[in-house]
Amino acid sequence: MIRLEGVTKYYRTTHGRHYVLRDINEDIPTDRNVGILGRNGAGKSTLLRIIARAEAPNRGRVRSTVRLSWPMGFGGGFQGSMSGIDNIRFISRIYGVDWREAVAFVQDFSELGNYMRMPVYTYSSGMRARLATGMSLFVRFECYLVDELPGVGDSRFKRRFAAAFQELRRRATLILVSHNESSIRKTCETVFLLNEGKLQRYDDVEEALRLYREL
Amino acid sequence: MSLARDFRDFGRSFTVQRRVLYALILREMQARFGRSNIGPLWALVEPLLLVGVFTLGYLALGRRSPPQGMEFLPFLATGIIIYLSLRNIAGRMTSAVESNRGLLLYPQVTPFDLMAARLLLEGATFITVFVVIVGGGVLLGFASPPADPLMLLLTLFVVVLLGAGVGTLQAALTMNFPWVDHFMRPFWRLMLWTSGVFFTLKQLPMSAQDILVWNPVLHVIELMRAAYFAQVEPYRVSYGYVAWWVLGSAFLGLLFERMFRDRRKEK
Repeated sequence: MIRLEGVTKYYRTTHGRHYVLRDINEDIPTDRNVGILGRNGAGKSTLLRIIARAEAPNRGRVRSTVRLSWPMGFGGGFQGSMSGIDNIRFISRIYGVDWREAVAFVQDFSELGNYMRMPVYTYSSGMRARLATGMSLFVRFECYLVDELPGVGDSRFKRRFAAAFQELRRRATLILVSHNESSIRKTCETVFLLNEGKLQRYDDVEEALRLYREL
Repeated sequence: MSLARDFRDFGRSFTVQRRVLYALILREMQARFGRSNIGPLWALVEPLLLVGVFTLGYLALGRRSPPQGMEFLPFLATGIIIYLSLRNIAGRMTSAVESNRGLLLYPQVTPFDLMAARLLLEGATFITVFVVIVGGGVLLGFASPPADPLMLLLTLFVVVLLGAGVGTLQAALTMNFPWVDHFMRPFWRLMLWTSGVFFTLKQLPMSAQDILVWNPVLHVIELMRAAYFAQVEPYRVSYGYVAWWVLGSAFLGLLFERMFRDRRKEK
């Protein structure tokens, strides 16, 4: 369970504060997959980053009873000038896992081959996603925070990812931010709609999708 | 027991903090020195080159030796290495967040960690460079050993502390007011000529002394020389004054960081 207590986030603009999240008090379940829907710029990614504690809210706090991943998506979090292996070493160290095992696992999962020894800036976005996915699977989080399901990669890797995802579903859950209605429908059992700084919970996914289309 | 839980939570946070700093320092080392074994030697090049050039300069000017019977190498090395290291520590702490922004994605990594990792690495580099250059000079017969090695060592740590304070302040100012960055280069250039790198306070006329005596970098350089040379007594400089600078600049830096946190453009 992730509990948001009075979470408020705004950005200062030339014409005053622009509120992205307004005093949100909500429990986000972590015993099932959860989707977050909202229009472009509604603040979905910001909300995900606040849940992940990658960004601090201006007011309020976030508590979590489960081990959350870093906010995944866009292949961020890697140092471009360093190799895949060195990045994996760093992430292993900050999460306290064995980096040798991590490198072996990610090497096998991502099939990046010799690219593992090359700087990450030489990677395509698909390759970065493979690296990030592999590493996050190895750390074994209880809840994965995902910004748009990675649709990247060749068909071979897509199958690999789907298999890993199935395995993942048995031991962990997702919080998924997406524009893609079909991936929300396929994956999530509860949906939160983010609109004008407020978060509304819907346990009926179809109802949420219908309201989302009307936004 | 809530107290027991507090202790456990603290223990856990401490473990995470240690892990993060360790990971960051290893990563910074690799970025700064590269993977080759001779990489760290590069840290010696700049100070060695400057010490060499200024020694030649002194000789060319016909100045036979620094004041009060100080030897060339320890006199110039204390000044130049302390000056360069303070500039480096402050500069690298200032750019720490900008060059590692991507890592803030991980919840356990904070801007404070990024700065602390660079401080620890630059501080250790400074002490090593100092010991290698001065120690090497002693072994090769260019200088006699320090009169008070323990005080010298203590002063090396005081320099790192001063770097920590000044670095925190410079980083906080630069983060909140980007225009400050344009003034840092001329500021440190000015410091090179006002910190007693090439002279001692005592040599100056009283009116100049009264101004420069406010400069904490001059204090640590003179204190270092007083620790090195038996015949040199601290003149108008003190550890107490440096301590006020360490505390004051760290306090102001952290205060600015806190005050303007909301206002900054977010990552």
